[in-house]
Amino acid sequence: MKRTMIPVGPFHPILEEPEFYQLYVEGEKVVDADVRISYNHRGIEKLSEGLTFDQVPFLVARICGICCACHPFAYVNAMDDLLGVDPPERAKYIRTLFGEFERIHSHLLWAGLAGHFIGYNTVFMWAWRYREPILDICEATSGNRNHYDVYKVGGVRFDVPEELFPAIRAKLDECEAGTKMLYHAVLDDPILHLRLKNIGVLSKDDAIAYSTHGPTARGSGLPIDVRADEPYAVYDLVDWNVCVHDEGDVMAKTLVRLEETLESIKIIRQCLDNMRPGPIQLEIDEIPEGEGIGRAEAPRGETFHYVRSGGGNHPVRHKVRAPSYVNVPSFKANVIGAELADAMLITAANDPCYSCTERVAAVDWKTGETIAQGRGLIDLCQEKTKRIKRALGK
Amino acid sequence: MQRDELVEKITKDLDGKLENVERPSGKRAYLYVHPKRSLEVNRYLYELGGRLATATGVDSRDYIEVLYHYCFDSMNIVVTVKTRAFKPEVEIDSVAQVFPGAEWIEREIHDLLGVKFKDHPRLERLILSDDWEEGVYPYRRDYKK
Amino acid sequence: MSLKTWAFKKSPWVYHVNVGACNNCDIEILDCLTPRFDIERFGMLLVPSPRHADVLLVTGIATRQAVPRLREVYEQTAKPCAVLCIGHCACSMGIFAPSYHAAGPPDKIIREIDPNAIIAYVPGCPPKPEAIILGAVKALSVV
Repeated sequence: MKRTMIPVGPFHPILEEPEFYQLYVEGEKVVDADVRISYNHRGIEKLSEGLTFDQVPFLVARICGICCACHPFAYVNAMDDLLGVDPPERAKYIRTLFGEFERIHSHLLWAGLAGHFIGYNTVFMWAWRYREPILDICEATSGNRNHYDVYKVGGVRFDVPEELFPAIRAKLDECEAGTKMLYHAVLDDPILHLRLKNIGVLSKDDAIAYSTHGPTARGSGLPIDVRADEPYAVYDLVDWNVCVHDEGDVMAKTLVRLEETLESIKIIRQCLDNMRPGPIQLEIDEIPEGEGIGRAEAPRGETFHYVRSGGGNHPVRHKVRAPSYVNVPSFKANVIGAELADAMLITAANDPCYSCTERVAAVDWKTGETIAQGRGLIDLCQEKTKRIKRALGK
Repeated sequence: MQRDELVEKITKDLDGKLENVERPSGKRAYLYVHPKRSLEVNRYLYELGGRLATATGVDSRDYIEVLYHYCFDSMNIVVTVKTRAFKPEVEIDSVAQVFPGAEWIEREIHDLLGVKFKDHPRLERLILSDDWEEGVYPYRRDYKK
Repeated sequence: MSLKTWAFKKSPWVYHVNVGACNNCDIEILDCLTPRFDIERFGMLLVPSPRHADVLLVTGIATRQAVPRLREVYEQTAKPCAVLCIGHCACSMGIFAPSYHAAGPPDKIIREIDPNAIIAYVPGCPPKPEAIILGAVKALSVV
């Protein structure tokens, strides 16, 4: 059978980031996929060397619009490691709050996009509507719906006043109600079960070989979560669970994310209950020579920052490793051999944050012709759902 | 196993193969390794259960330092292998031949710093644009925009 | 007002193009579709191809890799069209201006092809959906 090439991108309507996806297919099965990324590369690590240590959080927050808390969080953790300091307790609570706000809105965003891919546009509208209360909280506390810019070396930049707590709790209740509806809808809908179960299975061995982490790994039975493995901020002071499912398919990853969203709400409520008044910053006069490693659990997995200081005002080297960088290549293990109609869903199940990863493109130059452009793959994905519905008589 | 036992075990098993070991805190350990031993030490840590989080390349005057960071999740420790690719060849054994998780990680260092990873399954351009000049490495100290 | 201009102003079709952004502006653009802002009630529609678009929403700094694609998309867009540069990155490259991989900002690239291009700027990091909608309305009133 002749090999055919299906390009997706670079400008795909629903995937907001330009990427060059080209999957090689034989008939209806995907046989190969590679990656070409570059469209979003902005040289962040080099830019970091030109900024002072206090300016860096603003830069790294803008690596990715969805993970705008985890990058500065990992950076300030790396600086805490370098300096050997422990920020004040209230600062740690505030850092945790924003980390969890980000997790909730990111997971709901993902749920919406995944819903769109399989043709459930109501899910898209629903999930994004229930993100709004969280964005409102972020705006009320930080001044911005995203890019809160709260993280600072040695603490946080501003406080969250107690007067806002009742409003925050009310918005959380709203968000929780919506998330629970979505969660039960996923658990109860037979079409979703047929659509998502046993699709794109990433085995535990593959998850380990590809060094995956985050919901991608937790959906394959690996209980790794930086918040539990290397507790930072106040994650060791609050009661919460690491969400793990063993099946490794798209359904497992979906459930992991929705359960984590509910856990995040639990964490935030405990923070609001337990926070005590106090200072929010440490006095730091200078950064000595040294190196530090900081990790934070982003919605997509582990964010890893390495910072080296030469004793001056700027980092000598700042290495940023976003979670998707390591998770995305693992899609080779579970998309090859899959049906074309599922390819988009399997890739999306990794929640590839392209900004973090700088676009994923699948290219393998061999003989081939173009059969479909961009929209084609999502249409195929939605068509399969319709076929399943018809088969069920719905 | 606890992390202190882990570090003891590593130091014992790799006796004679490490140039130095630093332990700035309970949760961080740095192993200084000659490039000849890099593949062996990396393979050992991977087989011991370490998860390669990433690798950092740092340009210095006579060499490019390559740091491989391994997380031992259940023990709350990050063990970093520090090795060097000496100039002018700037060559070192690829770890990607042991497990695929290292492929992109090494490819990035190759793209941005010019380190040649021997026996890497696919050492091609990854991050820089199609029209980026060959032989120009933006993360080297002597790079001018 | 000609029929074409009237039709153009009544229900603009929008094509979104990301040339090296952190994705935040893109999310806020998608947010415009969601129930709280709901631009579809104005007849604004996100379309899958630039050939159908009246308005190009550009986000990002225009990295070296993305420049040829930006040019291609602009050339394919049916004229007349309005270009909206959304966010600090698209307006001026923001903090990414000194980057070795930055080749923009996008308006410079577009004006190289078409010096008379209609370009509007919506600064913000990211601009709120309300600002994006206002920017689109203002741009269209100039066309």
